[in-house]
Amino acid sequence: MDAVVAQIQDLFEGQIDFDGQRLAEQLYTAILSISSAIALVVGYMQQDIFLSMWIGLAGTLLAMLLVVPPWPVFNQHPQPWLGSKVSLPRGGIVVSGGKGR
Amino acid sequence: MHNALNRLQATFGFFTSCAFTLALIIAVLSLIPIPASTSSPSASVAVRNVQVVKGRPHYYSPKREEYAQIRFDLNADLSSLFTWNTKQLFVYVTANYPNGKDGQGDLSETVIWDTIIPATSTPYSWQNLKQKYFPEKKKSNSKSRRDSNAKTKTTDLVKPGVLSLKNQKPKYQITDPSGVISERSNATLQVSWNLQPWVGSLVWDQGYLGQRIGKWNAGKAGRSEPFDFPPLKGTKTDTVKDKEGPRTPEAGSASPVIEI
Amino acid sequence: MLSSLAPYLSNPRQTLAQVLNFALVLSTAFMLWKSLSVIADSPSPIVVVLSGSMEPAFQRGDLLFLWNRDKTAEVGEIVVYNVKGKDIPIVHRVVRSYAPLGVGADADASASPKLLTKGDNNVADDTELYARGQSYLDRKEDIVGSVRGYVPAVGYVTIMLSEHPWLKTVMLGIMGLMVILQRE
Repeated sequence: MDAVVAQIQDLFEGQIDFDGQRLAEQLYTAILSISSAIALVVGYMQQDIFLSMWIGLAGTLLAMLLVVPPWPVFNQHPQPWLGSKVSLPRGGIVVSGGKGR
Repeated sequence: MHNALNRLQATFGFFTSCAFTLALIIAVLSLIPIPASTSSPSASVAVRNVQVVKGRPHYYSPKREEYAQIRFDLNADLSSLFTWNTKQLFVYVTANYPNGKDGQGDLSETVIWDTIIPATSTPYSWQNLKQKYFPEKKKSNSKSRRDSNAKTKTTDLVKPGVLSLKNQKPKYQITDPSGVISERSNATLQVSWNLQPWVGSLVWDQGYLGQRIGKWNAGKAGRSEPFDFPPLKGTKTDTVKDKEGPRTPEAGSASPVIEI
Repeated sequence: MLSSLAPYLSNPRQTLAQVLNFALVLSTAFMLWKSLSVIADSPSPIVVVLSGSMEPAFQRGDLLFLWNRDKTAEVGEIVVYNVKGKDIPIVHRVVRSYAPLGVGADADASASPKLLTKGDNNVADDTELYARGQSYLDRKEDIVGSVRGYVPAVGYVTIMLSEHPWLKTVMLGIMGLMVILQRE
């Protein structure tokens, strides 16, 4: 039962790595800014304020579709985590100390 | 940004900021105004007939006050006020008269007629798209007849804001708190408008913003010549009941529906 | 129950810091609301439209921004007022403004114009809505503010929640689901 819940939690979390996070942020900022600008210009040219609204909403939907699900492009640089204590070298990891240690 | 929910929240937050900025830009553009309007609103109003009769506010009220009915002519061209950011225009005619004796004193203002002119449906507007994709089922005959009557009341949809009324019966019969409105002098009729935008601030014809975007044409500022309220119609023995109570139709006048 | 409190009690400083953070957020929100009240000089500078009496101008759920620093309410302005003795604000348009009586030496300097209001979508004016014995409104006593701008449809969530109580259960269900599905 716990395994099933854990699987659903994984699915729901949609983890992406740090490079992917940066890419995601750039992506939604760019898409939303550009679609807002397009909405303003097109609505003004056509003198139809609803057109601006629909374009803006479409841009938001596009941004959400591209950014929220964990697409593989966001997982290109997975973080190389160190393993558990078992796989560490005997004696632990030695960190070269500075003065006073 | 680690989990999907975070990204959803971040995107939505940025969307609200963008939407707010867009709305601000559109509102400011309307007030500057860009595009500059090529024409300005103009209106002329004239009094046709004034009658003062005794009546009571409700059919059960013991108070008897004087009510004035002012029929008027109105010619107005307010189409320059309809921009892409106009939701509706509220046009109203007020009777302004000084409160004291002999045409002196502070002005009292009363609305005698008003109308709402909604902006025409643009190709992508909510109404138009709803009609296209979710067409209304055919209503029963009697209802549609009433609706089509209602539609003919609004002004020409191709050019909204053009009004042409002749001998228009007022919507409201006015009175004064003192109960006396007969024989007051130096009264005028004034046309005013209130523009409501889709985004931005409301604009009235008097006031700084109104002067910026809708200054009246010289000489056609919608003010009538001064007139006087006549003395009370002594020969009229029936009481004129105000709209609130059940109305007995007067001979020769229609029910309170405005004919334009 | 005490065991679930243990992580909070073992590190009191952190717990207090979190409580303080929460209180900071609440008080900032309260401060913003009150400063808006002061700037607009109105006890309630933002109101939600509850009825359809001003359609098609304002639909139910619209948020209205009020300004109360004008001395007079002109005919044609949209004002929000409270009926004496009741707490429900009403949003209607001023249709009549009667100047106070008296000219020159007679004039009562403290008198202000008598106002009558009416909703755009109503046939009759608001005389029936005023308190018993009151036929007109006074700018100082009754009016909460004059409408200057609005945001459409945002307040509709509160109205929907109060009119369809099953929505509250749906929302709670969704929140519960989120708690189970989230990792943190």
